Amino acid sequence: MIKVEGLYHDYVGKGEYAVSDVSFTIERGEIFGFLGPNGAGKSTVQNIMTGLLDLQKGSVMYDDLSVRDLTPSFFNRVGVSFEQPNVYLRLTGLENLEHFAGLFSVPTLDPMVLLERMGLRDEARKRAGEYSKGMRQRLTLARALINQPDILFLDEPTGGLDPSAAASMRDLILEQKERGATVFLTTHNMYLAEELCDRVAFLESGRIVAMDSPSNLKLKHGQHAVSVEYADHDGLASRTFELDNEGKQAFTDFIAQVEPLTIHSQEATLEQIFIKLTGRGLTQ
Amino acid sequence: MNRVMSLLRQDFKLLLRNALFWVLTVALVLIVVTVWYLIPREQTGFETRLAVYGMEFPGGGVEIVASPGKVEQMVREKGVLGIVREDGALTVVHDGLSKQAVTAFVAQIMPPQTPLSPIQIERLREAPQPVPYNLRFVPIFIAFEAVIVGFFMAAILMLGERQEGVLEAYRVSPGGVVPYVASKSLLFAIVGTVYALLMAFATVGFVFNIWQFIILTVLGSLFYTLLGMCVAVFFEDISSWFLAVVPLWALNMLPMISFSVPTFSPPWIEWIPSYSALFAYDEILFPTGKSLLSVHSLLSVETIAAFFVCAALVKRRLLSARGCVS
Ligand SMILES: Nc1ncnc2c1ncn2[C@@H]1O[C@H](COP(=O)(O)OP(=O)(O)O)[C@@H](O)[C@H]1O
Ligand SMILES: [Mg+2]
Repeated sequence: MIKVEGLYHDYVGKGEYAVSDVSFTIERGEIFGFLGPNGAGKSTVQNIMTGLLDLQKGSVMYDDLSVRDLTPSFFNRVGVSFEQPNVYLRLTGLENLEHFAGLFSVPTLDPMVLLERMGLRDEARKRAGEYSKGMRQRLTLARALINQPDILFLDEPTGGLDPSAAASMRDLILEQKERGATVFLTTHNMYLAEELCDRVAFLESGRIVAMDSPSNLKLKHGQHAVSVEYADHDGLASRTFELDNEGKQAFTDFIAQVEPLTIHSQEATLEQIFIKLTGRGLTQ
Repeated sequence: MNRVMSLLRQDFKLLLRNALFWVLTVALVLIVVTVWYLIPREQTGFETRLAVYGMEFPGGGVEIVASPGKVEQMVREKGVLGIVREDGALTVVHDGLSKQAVTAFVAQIMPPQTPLSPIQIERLREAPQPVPYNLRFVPIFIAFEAVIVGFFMAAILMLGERQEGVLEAYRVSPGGVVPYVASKSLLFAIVGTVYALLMAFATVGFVFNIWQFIILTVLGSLFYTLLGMCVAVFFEDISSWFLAVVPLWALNMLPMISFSVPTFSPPWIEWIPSYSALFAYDEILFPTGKSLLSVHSLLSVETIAAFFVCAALVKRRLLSARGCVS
């Protein structure tokens, strides 16, 4: 179990917190999503948890071990993928993985198999300097997986990826969970979060504004709606009704008047809930 | 150990793919060419054959010097003949002529009216073969090129890692500080030794104490690599680092002056490690019987100290949690 409590971080030292009073726990084997727009403080939290940033205030505990007391050997169990791909540009993809694998004292995956899985087989022997941003991103992720980590940190793993690569990324993250890994997933992609995460925390301006499973969040905050497609004089038209008391009445009245072609119930998306809670979208 | 080997292979590949490394390698070849083809084997023009103190002496090839000690020094270092006139006594200082030759020489040079108070003949220890002029520079080239490769290249590799952000990935791996420092030190101990041996073989030949040479080079390269990393941790990028190391580099070159102009030897200069390395290379390549034990042991102590300082600095400034991630 990972327990984060009362985390604050001030980059400049002027009492302006990039992250304020952030607390959450992640159960073993869970995919925990950290959702928020750019600048919300997601990477800051991940970097404090991995020990890259110093812990100024609050606590981060891995079971009984504080992040302050981590030893190098602890990282045999950890994989970290970075928002900005950071690989040796003068080494090939394969060399990047081979040398990184050499640092671990636990069994590591075959770099070539991993590269193939990432769709980088044909580029394995090319220098990473010749890779596109998306390819470097995939290489950075491959590196995070090489030691089959128990705890996996993924900072914007779909950033810079095209939709099909993003879809295979999603499968890959699910495989990690099936393997038993605990995943901390930072993203502003609400679809990814919705599909993958057991629980999500919404982060806005450094604070957690909501935290629950995606379905509970929808139950609690989502407005349910139905949309009706019907034949109009000009062809096909549609109208949406929210299912509160007023909306329900309007919906039944409307149905009685028109010839409905299809009726769909509409669930709120995490994005809509985020907007409702914070007054702003995830992508801006 | 696996960890160090993995890092070592990685650093080696990165080194081979670094343009500056090839610049240094070309410099090595140029130096060997210079020694063979551009510096004459014999020093031409005015050359001192006689060092004299305390009297006038007409003729070419004579240098009147300021003290009897200086006469001895010149006899020892340049293989000249020396004459010291002090309190009416005349001493001939040489480094290995027969008694007859000296007597003949004295008879030849002394004006007949010279009051012949007894002439002393002082023979210094057996002098080695005179060193050809072009080879006298070899210790300089080895001490200031081969041994210094690590000082620059380790720093450049390190700053490259910093700029590419890969150190963050290293920090969340089980790598640790000691393997990081050890792999770079080891790499340049090997590279420096290969360079130095190639330079020595290509110029002086194979007749010198190779083991002493290797020990000196390994220690020297380790020391300068560690020193280079100690400096580099204070910089974020190569250009600001470079501005700072150029003065350091120049300072490190000062002992070269002492080597060429023996009168330039302020007491502090011996504290510059290249000073003792330079004179130790000279002794190994052109032995005169001095012991190198003190040089080797001092350099060992300095290297061990540098390792601890470097590991502490790398840990503090490069591999531990900070207020912000670059
Ligand atoms: N190195 C830094 N120095 C100063 N401020 C920073 C630094 N890194 C991030 N910040 C600030 O901290 C806040 C959170 O940033 P970050 O954690 O990167 O957000 P996210 O990952 O959610 O996009 C932002 O306002 C950002 O400007
Ligand atoms: Mg971020």
